[in-house]
Amino acid sequence: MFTTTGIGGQYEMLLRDGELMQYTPEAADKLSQVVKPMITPGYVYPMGIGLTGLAYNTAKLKAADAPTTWDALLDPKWKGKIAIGDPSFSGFDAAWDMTMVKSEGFAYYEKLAKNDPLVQRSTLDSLTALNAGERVVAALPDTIAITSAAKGNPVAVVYPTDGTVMMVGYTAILKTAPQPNTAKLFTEFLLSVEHSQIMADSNLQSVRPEVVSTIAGGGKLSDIKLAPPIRTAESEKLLSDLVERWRDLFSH
Amino acid sequence: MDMLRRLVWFGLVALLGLLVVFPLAEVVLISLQHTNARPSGLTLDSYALAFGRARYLQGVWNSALLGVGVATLCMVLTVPMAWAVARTDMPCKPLVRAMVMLTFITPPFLGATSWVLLAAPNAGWINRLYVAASGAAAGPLNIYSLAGLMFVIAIYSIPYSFVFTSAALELVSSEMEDAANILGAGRITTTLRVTLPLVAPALLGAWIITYLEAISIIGSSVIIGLPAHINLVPLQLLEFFGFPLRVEAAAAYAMPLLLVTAGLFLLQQRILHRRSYVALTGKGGERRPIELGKARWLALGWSLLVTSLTVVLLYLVLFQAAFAKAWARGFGLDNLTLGNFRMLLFEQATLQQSLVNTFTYAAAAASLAIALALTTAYLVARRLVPLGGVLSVLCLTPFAIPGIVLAIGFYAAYAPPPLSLAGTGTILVLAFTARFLPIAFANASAAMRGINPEMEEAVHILGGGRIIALRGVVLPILKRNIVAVWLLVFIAASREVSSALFLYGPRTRTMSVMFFDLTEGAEFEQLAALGLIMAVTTMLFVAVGQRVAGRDFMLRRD
Repeated sequence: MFTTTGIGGQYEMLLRDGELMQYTPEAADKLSQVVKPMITPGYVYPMGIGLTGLAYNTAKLKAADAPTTWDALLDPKWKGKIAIGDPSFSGFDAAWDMTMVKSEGFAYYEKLAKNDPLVQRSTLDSLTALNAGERVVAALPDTIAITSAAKGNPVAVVYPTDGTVMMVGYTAILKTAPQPNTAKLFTEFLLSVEHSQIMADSNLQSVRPEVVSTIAGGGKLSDIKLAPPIRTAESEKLLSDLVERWRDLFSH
Repeated sequence: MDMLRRLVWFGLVALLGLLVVFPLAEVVLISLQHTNARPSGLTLDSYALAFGRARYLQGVWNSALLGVGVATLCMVLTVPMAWAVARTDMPCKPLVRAMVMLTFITPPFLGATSWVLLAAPNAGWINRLYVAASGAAAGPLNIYSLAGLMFVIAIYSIPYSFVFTSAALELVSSEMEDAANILGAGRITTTLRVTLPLVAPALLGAWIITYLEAISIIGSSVIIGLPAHINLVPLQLLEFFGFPLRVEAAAAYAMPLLLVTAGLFLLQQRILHRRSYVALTGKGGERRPIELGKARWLALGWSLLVTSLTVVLLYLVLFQAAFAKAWARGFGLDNLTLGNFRMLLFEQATLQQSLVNTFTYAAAAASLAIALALTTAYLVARRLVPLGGVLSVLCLTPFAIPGIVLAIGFYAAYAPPPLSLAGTGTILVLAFTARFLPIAFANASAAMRGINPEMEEAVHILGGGRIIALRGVVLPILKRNIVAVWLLVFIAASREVSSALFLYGPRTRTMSVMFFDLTEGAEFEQLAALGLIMAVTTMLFVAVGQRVAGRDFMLRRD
């Protein structure tokens, strides 16, 4: 079994090398409309969705003042107040970076760099920076912010109206799987309503229309505007260019 | 006997070859290989890739700058303290020594983490206190800067340079200083113009070791260098080791590190040969503590100031965070919890395994390194085997190899088939052994030189063979020394990050790797708890070891 976000195009590499087993899960056509375009028929299937939005420290910022778009982060008033992760370490940030570069070009980060964001390895580090009050706003997966807020930390999340980032988790079976039947059964489980419910309970989004997870603030996935998703096939090329340029900008 | 000697010699050569020569050769070789499918023949492609971007070159330059800054700052902090402890009547010396030892037990990445809590520009404790007290808009400190990085690496490099410097200072006889005094030199002039020049080789050695540590340290580079937007050699190497994997480029990129190191040690040799430092024979001479008068309190103040930067502040914030629900909420009863420890100890499957791994590998590496070092030192000191000089150099070579480069070498040498040792405990133990072999060997050969061969000859005259002499005379004399050096290597290996990070597998995570992974999580409180667990378990080992050794392991001459 090979289960990942596919950021970096690992599934395409495995397909190219003939390393994946062909298998069409029974649940394949029961997946929700949001993820159906992301299927690689016969090989790679979505099994969960994560969303990246804008999180902010509620002790330092009133809800009314929190930024509601990605572009708002470019305002000089956020100088020294933003936390982000490094795409060469963090998949969440790589997904966010690719989405932004696809929609706004690399210029977005050149402008963002002027606001001197705190760059740490992982998205989770951004949460630490928020909770500690080291920074005030951050690009952050909503599930992380929600879980942390539930523990009593001063953090809340906004879904940017210029396109919340969707990150899809996929699953595929390796051709050399020692127990192919177990792998197929587990694939069925990952695409089942039961697993989707587990996803929803962990503040992630389900891939089955039967299970509707709530997002932070109580809405549904269909209530928010999603940025065009990055297909795993595009990400290999997109990411290798991006990481180099990104690091030139933020690590020199 | 001759047969046995030849066998031992052959074994030694083979082992040192596997531990030192093979990995080192592999780094060089792999840097010259083609990236794809390895067609035969050599190429400089990897060098073109590794040095073909401004950012990569900037990383080398930044690291070089960092190294010079760290090593110099570290000496400035350490030398007065080491001098005061070794040569003067400063009060409370055991306390200062204990603080230095506590610094040694404290892994540098723990220090880096704590200093983020202390001096992050907005949320750091010191800045928050300053803002609260002065009403200023912002605090004065920013740990996320080159200066911040230099400071943090420098203060956690103090133990090594302290050991080097104070050991050398203790050997300088008072007679030299008396001569200078008689000729009219004051205390300060004497210290600056007689005492310190006499220990110049040790100072230079300490400077070089600190420099090497600074340019290859991973933890602090990631925790502080990355947010400070400073590219560094370790960060760039991590990038080459990331996705997509470019081992050849990593090897090529590591070459300047190797060259600089080799160059530094050659330079040290040349400086050493230019003058005579015969005062360091360790023989004769009276050593009296210099009376400092009132200045002794100044010396104590300095020592305590430096060590409170490394230890006191660190454990203060660490305790606060480890027992806090959310560290940023500060001190307060409603913020107290044991949950972080419960989570780590009972709810996380990996901690117990990594605790066991850490101490097993460290113990195995320490034992292997000691065995190898003692055998070599004995054979070389008694001139029992040919090429003794070469064996000594091989034992000391890893000193000059930065941890990351050694790890790349081990990866290149032992990860591919036929051995396929990647991710096994064996490769970690071997790498730790190689990395800390010089510490063991330097001490073993010094100890061996101190044993007069006449004692063994007495055994021979009485009809005993070499084995009896070893078992009955040499080993008992060395017993305490062996325990002390074992502890030294054990501690160093138990907190090793740079080589472990490139070589561990899912089942062979050590605590330092786990800590490194946790630094990437949002759980600063758990991180602090893990840090405390590491420090406390190491202290237990040290306490037991000191009872056995009957002295501290920092090689004090009493």
